[in-house]
Amino acid sequence: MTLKLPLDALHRQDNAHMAPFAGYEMPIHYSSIVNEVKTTREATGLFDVSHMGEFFLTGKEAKKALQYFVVSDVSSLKNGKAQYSMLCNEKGKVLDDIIFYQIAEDHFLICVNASNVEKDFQHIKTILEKKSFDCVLIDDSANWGIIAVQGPTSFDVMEKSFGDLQLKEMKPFEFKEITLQGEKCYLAKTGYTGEKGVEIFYAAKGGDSRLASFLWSNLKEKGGVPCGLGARDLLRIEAHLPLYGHEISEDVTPLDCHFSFVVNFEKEDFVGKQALMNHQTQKCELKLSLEEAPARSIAREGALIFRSDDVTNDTKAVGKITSGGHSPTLGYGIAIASVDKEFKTQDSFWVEIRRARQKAVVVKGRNFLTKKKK
Amino acid sequence: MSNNERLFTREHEWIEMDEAGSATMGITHYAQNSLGDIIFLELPDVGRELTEGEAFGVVESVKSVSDLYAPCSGVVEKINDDAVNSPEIINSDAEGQFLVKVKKAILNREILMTKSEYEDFCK
Repeated sequence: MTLKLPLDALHRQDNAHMAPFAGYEMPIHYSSIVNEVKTTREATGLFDVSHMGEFFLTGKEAKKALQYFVVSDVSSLKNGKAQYSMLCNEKGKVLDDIIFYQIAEDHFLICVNASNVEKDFQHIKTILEKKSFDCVLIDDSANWGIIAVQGPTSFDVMEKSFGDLQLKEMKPFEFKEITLQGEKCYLAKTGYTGEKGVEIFYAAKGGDSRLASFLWSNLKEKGGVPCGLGARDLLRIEAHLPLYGHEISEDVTPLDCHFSFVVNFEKEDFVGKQALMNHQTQKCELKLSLEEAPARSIAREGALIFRSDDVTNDTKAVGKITSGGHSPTLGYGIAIASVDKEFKTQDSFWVEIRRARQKAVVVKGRNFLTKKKK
Repeated sequence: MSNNERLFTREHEWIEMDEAGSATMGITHYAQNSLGDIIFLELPDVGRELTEGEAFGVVESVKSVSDLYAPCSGVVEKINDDAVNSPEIINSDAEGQFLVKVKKAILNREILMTKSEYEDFCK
């Protein structure tokens, strides 16, 4: 069965193209994906990401438990601050990437990927029982939704919609509790687009859409433009942010990907620590641009990568594309690739697109946008 | 049913015969709307023989890659170079822009739908 978002009817009214994703009927695009990406880069995009999972971890040893089941160091986390991290199994393989929010020392909101809700919940639950941590984990996904408001004018749109929220005073990864329509919401300076913006965690008790409709309609009226998962995927690729099932999965460890820095070996024992300490990574994650390939070439997930000095056309691939698409912001194809570590310093590769090999240039820097913003 | 009536396939293509026995074909408005921003078209070479139902080209949008299936048999007479060079014109006018014209076209009426049948099919 596919679940419906609280805002399902509103999305359909807006002519959204809906498709199943992670068990939900999700808006893929409303108008043109290209325009939705541009709107988010130039003004404000609205994203209904209410499919995401929300857990609450509460109790005296909540923080101690968190410190044990995530790979990053949470000891210095303060109230009102969020952190990006990963869950690993004992083999050091990635079960999910998550963001958790410290509401209080003994109270955390954990946001997980929609497709991993059940897996993550069982995994954490088992650990809590095994180690007898004095805390309780609740899967409250059915009662929460998320609207992401992203783009250079997103703070204006937010404050025109809901009054002075003092967004400028908040730093990235800070969050606070606010009341909208009499309901408790969490307003977080997080996002998945590489733009400034916020995410609103709103109450959607059992799919109640009233608060969601109020938020969405107000944001739209004040200039926010609905954007779908299609745009969200391209925005996160441009910003070089990983997506579970692509850059990270149970096939890799955090050390094999771009976000390896989340692992903290200084802290005491944590799930997967031993395996990760023994792990010699064979892979590296690179950004590739198809700027020099024929116009409109797109390297999609699974496309094979070959050494640029390989002219024989029959040798083994040295890597593959994990995510790729046409960048509306840059006007050419971009991709994230997993490549054998020994080729880490190469400047370019061949990538196989539509049975032909095209030049893919390695992009340095934090993401695909740094060059553009200069 | 007049001989030159525009007909439609389950693969969301339109086809129209002319007096000389050639057929022009393209994709429907419904198809372009589902695909979203089209950024690449791969069309067959002029002179290639097509068999009804075979994949003869590719249409790639920002969102996905789809094959084009020949709605009839025939020999490729002409392709729409404007559409190859600026695929976005398919988004703005899918049913006014042909993709391929074939000569010696052989249509199989049984797999083709009239406009009203196609509209029902899309519902």
